[in-house]
Amino acid sequence: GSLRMRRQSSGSSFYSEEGRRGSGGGGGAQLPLSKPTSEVGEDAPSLNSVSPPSGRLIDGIEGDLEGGTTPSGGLKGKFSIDMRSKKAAILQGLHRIGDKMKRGNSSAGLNSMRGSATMGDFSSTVERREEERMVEASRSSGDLINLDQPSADDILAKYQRGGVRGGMQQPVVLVDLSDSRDELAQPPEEMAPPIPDQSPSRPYYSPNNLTQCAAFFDAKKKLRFVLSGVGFLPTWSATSSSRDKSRGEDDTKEELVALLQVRIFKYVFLAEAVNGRERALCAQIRETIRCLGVFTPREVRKLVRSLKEDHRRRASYTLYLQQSRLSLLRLQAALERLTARVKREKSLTEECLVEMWINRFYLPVRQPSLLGQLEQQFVALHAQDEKTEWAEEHIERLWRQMEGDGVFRAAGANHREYARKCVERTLMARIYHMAFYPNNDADIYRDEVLYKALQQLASTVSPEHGQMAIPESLRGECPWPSAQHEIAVINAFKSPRDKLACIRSITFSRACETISNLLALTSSGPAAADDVTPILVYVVLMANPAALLSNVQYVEGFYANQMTGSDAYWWTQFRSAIEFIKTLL
Amino acid sequence: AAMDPTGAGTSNDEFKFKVVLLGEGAVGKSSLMLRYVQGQFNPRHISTIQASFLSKQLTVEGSDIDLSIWDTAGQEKYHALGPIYYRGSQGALLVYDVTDAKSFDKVKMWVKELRRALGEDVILFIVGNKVDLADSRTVDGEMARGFATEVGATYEETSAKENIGVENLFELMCSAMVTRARVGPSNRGTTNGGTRNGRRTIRIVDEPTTGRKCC
Repeated sequence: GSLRMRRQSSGSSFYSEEGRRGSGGGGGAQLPLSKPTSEVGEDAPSLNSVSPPSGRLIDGIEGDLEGGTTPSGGLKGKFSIDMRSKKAAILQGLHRIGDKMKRGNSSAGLNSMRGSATMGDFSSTVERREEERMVEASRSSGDLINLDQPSADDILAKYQRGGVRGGMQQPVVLVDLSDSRDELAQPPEEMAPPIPDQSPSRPYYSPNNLTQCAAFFDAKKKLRFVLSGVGFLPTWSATSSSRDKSRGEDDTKEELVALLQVRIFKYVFLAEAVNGRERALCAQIRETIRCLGVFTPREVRKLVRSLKEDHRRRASYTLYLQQSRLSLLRLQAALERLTARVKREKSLTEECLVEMWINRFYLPVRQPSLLGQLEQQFVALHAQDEKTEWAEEHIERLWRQMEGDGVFRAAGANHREYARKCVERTLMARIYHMAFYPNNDADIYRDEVLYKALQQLASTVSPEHGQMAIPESLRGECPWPSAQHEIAVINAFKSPRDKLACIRSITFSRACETISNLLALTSSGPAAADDVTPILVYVVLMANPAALLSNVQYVEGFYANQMTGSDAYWWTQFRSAIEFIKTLL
Repeated sequence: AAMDPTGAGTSNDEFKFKVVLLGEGAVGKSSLMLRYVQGQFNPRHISTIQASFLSKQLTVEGSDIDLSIWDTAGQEKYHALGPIYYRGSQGALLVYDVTDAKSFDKVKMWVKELRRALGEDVILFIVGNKVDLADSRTVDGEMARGFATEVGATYEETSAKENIGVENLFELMCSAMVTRARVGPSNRGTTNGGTRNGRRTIRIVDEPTTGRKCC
């Protein structure tokens, strides 16, 4: 008998591990372990190249694009087909643009990235960083530029070259943060207009050669920068869409409207920035407005047109970035789930090890005859309260002894917790057969009678039945198989604590979480007792676990004093469900 | 058996209180509770919270209170299960719907039953809910107040929907329970229901269950 019991006990602990694992499992973490691991393996390179500083994200993607390789990494692999075709389009565009791209002459990527809604978080971090930089830059404009790119000369030269070759269509598709950083640092720098001085051969502003003069590009850049601020996103997209709509109608009129909008929005932005005390931004907007003042309305119109053209060109790249962001987010979520899972496995493993240690090493070596003695002591007890007291006392004593043992000194708090649980489990498993059926055959017989009666009742009753009366709106998930399953495993647990946890999991964490969630979906509010009780009654009746009454009696007898809070509540709910079912017989 | 050893006697400054919500179905017990603990009515968007058991830590008159609120199913067929829930509780909120006279009759029944089972130690509050629906009101407030005074209960009116009097209700409840707990449990009425005094009592309660042959 005792041998069998012992085997059952280890079985039970195994079960409970299983159960807990399942309970923790929750949401989408049901992926088999091996699969996610390999996934990570695949994704690791692209992830590495992508994650840490936001700057490198863009570099990574850019690198991919520039290489013109077919989608290879895990990141790419996730893209849908249309994304691939989109990418192909981008690649084509890249080829057309040719060598200009290599100069990385662009801030567009950054701007369009900001503009994309899905990238909200990410771009906001970039934004913040940029803003910090801006502040710095506006304090000491020179410093920053020395960081990455050499001098304003270079930049200027670059823009001029760009202007000469590309004219109106400044071909800026790719992102290079180092470059854009430079560019961001530019407006304040230009406040003390150095550029005309440094390039005396070309006038800063020349109405004759408007689209290629430095002023034009400056203005465009500034405009773009200011308009791309995240805070202005809605208005900006509104203007662009309204423009898109009127495209093809009266072109000049549309341009004029756009121009007006730009003007108005400038001031709106300024007001916003002033209100928001964003000093750096204020300065930038003022500067932009000043810059635009140089041009005639006609020229501004041209400017807007050119901006719009740029915007159109970058649309597909924006989309691409959005998609990348999306898949990165997905990857991140998957990794987080995986991490949670690994942590859970870790704690479970630790718990198992502690249990193993206690059952295989500590008890047999240090206290070889203890369990046998305890068992004999327990046989002599008759009244339930004596048994309860005895169990509590001995669990406590055994635990104290173990805690005092030298081996245990280094154990952490969670190990102690596990050990305590394990002591309880071991002891209760040892006396289980005596504690569970105190009246032996009478208890077994009683359980059998109830079991059969419930079985019969379950075959006739339906959720609509008058005594069940589960509201129609809640019947969608009937017969709540997961909840039934939870109840059915109650006999696998030997310690009252674990049994209670099982009930708790029916009513609260797992199944009732389903119940609660479903109720939240179907009814007007979160699960109220009015709704939970009928469902619980039905679930208990349908699950009809063996030895139901003995289980109740056992938990009540050995654990009632330790129940608190929601445990006590859900146990009461469970009991009242059983009581109610009894009245139906 | 007693659900948990109540803190009523353990320390002067820490109490564990259990409050049951009793009343007919659909009088707004759950809403009342939610309104108090979560500060909102009908929170559709929070699906993970569940409204049948809630606990809250608070400080009343210098005492730390661990308040557990138990919701119960109000349907008539579950009435007989009442004792399982209200056993060992320090307070009971008997909720009725001011637009539904029948629900007030139910409250009268509960008062009788609770006094019989828990004696004078339990703090009873009679709560008229849904006072925002003043137009269809059928239960007179003064009459209800009179009844409450008569049976030694406190009368309050609330609207969980409009958040009228909810916070106040629970505060009053807590301070009443604190006062009662400080005075110490009276010895009246413990003959068949006073389960808070330890294991011996539990045994008496448990024994019939243990010995019962089912069917």
